[in-house]
Amino acid sequence: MKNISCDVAVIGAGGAGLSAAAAAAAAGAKTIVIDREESCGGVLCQCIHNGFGLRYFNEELTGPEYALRMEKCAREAGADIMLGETVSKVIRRSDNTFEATLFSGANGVTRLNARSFVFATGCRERTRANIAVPGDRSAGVYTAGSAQKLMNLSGMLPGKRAVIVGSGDIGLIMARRCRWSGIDVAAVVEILPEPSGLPRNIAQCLRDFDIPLLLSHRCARIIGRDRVEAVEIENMKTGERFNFQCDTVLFSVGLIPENELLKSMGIVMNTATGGPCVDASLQCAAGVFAAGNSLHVHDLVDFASLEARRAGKCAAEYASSGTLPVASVEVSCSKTLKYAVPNRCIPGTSGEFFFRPTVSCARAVLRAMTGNREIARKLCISVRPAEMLTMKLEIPAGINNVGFELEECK
Amino acid sequence: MKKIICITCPTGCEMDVEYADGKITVSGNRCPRGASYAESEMKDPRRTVTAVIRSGSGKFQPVRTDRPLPRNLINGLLNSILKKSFPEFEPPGPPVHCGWLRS
Amino acid sequence: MKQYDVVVIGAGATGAAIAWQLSHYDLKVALVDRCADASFGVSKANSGIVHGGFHHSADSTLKAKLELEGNEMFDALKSELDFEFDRCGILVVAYSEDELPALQKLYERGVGNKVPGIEMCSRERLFELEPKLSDTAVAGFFVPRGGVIEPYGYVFSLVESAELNGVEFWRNFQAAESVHEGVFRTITAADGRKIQARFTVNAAGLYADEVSRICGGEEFEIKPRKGEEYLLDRTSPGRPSKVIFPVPTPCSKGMLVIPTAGGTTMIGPSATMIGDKTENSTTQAEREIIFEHSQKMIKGISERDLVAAFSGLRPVLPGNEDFFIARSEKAADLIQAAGIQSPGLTASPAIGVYVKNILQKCGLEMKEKNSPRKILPPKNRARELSDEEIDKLHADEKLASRIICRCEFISEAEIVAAVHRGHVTLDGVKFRTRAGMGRCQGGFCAPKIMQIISRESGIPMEQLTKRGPGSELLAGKLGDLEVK
Repeated sequence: MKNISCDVAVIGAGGAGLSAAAAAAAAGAKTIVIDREESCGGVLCQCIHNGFGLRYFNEELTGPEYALRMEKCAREAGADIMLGETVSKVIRRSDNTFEATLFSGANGVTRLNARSFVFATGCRERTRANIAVPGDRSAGVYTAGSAQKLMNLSGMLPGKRAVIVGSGDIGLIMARRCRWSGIDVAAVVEILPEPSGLPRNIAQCLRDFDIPLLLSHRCARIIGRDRVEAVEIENMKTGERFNFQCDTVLFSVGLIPENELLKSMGIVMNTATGGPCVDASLQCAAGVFAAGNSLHVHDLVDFASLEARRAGKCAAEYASSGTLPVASVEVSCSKTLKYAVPNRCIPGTSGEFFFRPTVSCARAVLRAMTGNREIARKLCISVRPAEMLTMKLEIPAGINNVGFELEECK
Repeated sequence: MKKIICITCPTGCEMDVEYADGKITVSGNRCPRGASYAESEMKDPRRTVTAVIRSGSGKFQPVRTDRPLPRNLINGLLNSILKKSFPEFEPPGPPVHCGWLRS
Repeated sequence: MKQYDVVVIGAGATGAAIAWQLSHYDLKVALVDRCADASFGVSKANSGIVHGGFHHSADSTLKAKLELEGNEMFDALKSELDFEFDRCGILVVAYSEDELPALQKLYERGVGNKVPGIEMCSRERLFELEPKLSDTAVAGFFVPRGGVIEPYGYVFSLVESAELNGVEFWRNFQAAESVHEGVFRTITAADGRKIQARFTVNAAGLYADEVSRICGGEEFEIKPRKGEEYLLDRTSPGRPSKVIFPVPTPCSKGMLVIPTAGGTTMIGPSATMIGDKTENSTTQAEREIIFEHSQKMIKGISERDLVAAFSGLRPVLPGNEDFFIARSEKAADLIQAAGIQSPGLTASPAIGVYVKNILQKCGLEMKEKNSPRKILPPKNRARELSDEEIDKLHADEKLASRIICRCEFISEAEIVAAVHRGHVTLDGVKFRTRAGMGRCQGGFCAPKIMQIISRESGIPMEQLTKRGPGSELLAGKLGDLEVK
């Protein structure tokens, strides 16, 4: 069994993990990034469409291009990257360092010792079972992401005529991907009254192809003893039911942060985000940091990468000094915000916060309050649950709470 | 008047476009890229195309066009590249030389 | 044409146990199944309970006798065959005072059947045995020899061991016609393949009626009774330490909360008589009922933890409360093993012996094999091995430490071994290894598993199926369809 060690270990070499690693290495830490796949990039490798990178690289890139750029950043900063390694567990040792156990075909079992860990483990797709769609257990039922993987990494066609359930971005992108591969798309059905993906994806992935988007409709049943033959759709407003003939159903019904490793370390999850509770250093326990989609599901990889820099930098600082400033300010948010990340911040510093609104409106004001005192405000345009909000804030010294409120402008 | 959504960045501005006598008036865009997108969309709609191609080893490589392509040419382009194999194209990692499909 | 001493029709728990039993003797045995793999019929959706022997009266039924005998055989079977089995114990719980008379009656039946260790429990003792019981539990009894088993894992092990010891397994063999001439019966499959055998064992589950008819045996009809089951994540706080039974109703043992042998939690099954033997759907209505019932039984069960939903069919022989296991009175070479519903899985090892004895009485010579019995190689499940053990395996087999299914922690070597044992469908690999059975339901690993199956079996990707012909997973390769 091999033993290796470093200052900062990053689990996950996707858009967040590579960025965290670049930041940690740039801060002088001996940094190792671990990923179970054989190449860097995580889910970016299968996202062959363009639309990434405008915020981070000031240039529009495809997923694989973004991944390659980010890998270059990490390597140039001096981070080592170990691919094909699956982490089975991470434990805190008595000297307060950490030990991870890695499995791979190349190296067998490896123990990795690190002073701090960044978890950038991404998320998984919600499945048919997670939304409890009844009916037959037919072949031809895929999550949008696994169909994307089959098409873009293996060059296979999942079917000839698909219905896409859920209007999240992956579903919309897959609608266009299907059409650009000769697969017919009968419809995209969305249970909510508004689409969950970005407007530009509605435009370029559905309208360009005249693919119907059925809002307030749900997939009520899958029909087909062996292979999918049809899906039964229910109109949520009228209760009317009808069938679409198809041989494939793609589910794009949301993402679940993958935090099984953190959970096994006893770290408590935030029910609003599905990720751990973190402080301003993106630290969820001493020396344990989280970033990217496993912390909370981002709308853009650029934001995940930007956020992860902080986790990487702080993990390096922790690795060298063993301490970080105490985040004593509790963060809360109003009902119009699903969550605010981080959950605790440091008085007298500048902080950056990410939010998910629960409401849609053309204009809204985002306020930061401490008690009844407003400490900052920001005007937000075209607010939608599908898109994150961000706010940079100078946190006054001597306060112990910050509450964020989002209020629609009438 | 036509309502279109700008696809140049994730903001996705909803724009109102007026096209009369060869003159285009755009409102609702939050940056100049919106106006030029709207103009192109009215006169000569184009899209950047991404796909995967079969390389020599049988592996699939992601590719993109080096510029937006007229929409009416997209299907022809895809049909021509999907059926072919590209033995000369064997990059070491995932992507993609922009402009590779120019010829 | 291939000639055998015995052909066993149906590779579910019953047929597999019979074939495995026969593989100990100097006989030529064929096991045939209409599906693409063993256990793909009734057995795949079995609740996986090793029953305790208190549901049926031992005085009058074959069911109770074989159930009790079968139960005691599992320890030895597990040590030879290496399937997932845990004698975790069964608790039968009354949730209201009204149920106490029925509970008492069931307990007394268990005592009468001489169920080992059966124990009537006070409310206090119940909660000591299972702290997760809901507060409404009033009384119950404990059966320490009951347990859980992975049904497909058990069937696959039986079949693989039988194959290793000379039994020939014919997949996708749907018995369609048969003619008996001289000492041999010729059975023709729907696809035209033929085999001949001196004795035929009908263990065809849902299709036992059809097999009996084509063999000129007794006329009866098998009616399917559907049961839906819901599987919860291995991290569900609603996983009890024992199988939890309610007090049963006349037609069903009731809906259970099961700590499965694979480490997840299963709730169900429902029980609905249906007409169609290919119906395998789940319904919203049953899901709601099952969750409501199980939440009343155990604390911490939540739809949030739902990982998979499926249904199975029990092969009910109307008018016959008992198993129908006997030499046919109409076709002398035919042994019937029909109407094997619950507790069929528990009874199956004993059914194997029972049918072997019938065959012996029919004049089939049973000579034990001279050669030593061949033992299956260890399954080397990464999830169960220590890090050191995996590292040691890696020295000889690189793939033993390459993890393909992250949710269930399954190595590539396990998947390759499954393919080499003939499991070339996605469901076959899943049932053999558990790869794809976890929380992501194959979202991450299914494309990888498909590539491994294709690579190891030589079957092109586009021909791979979920569970046999008709359930093709893909429609072709990029470029096969015109972009329009």
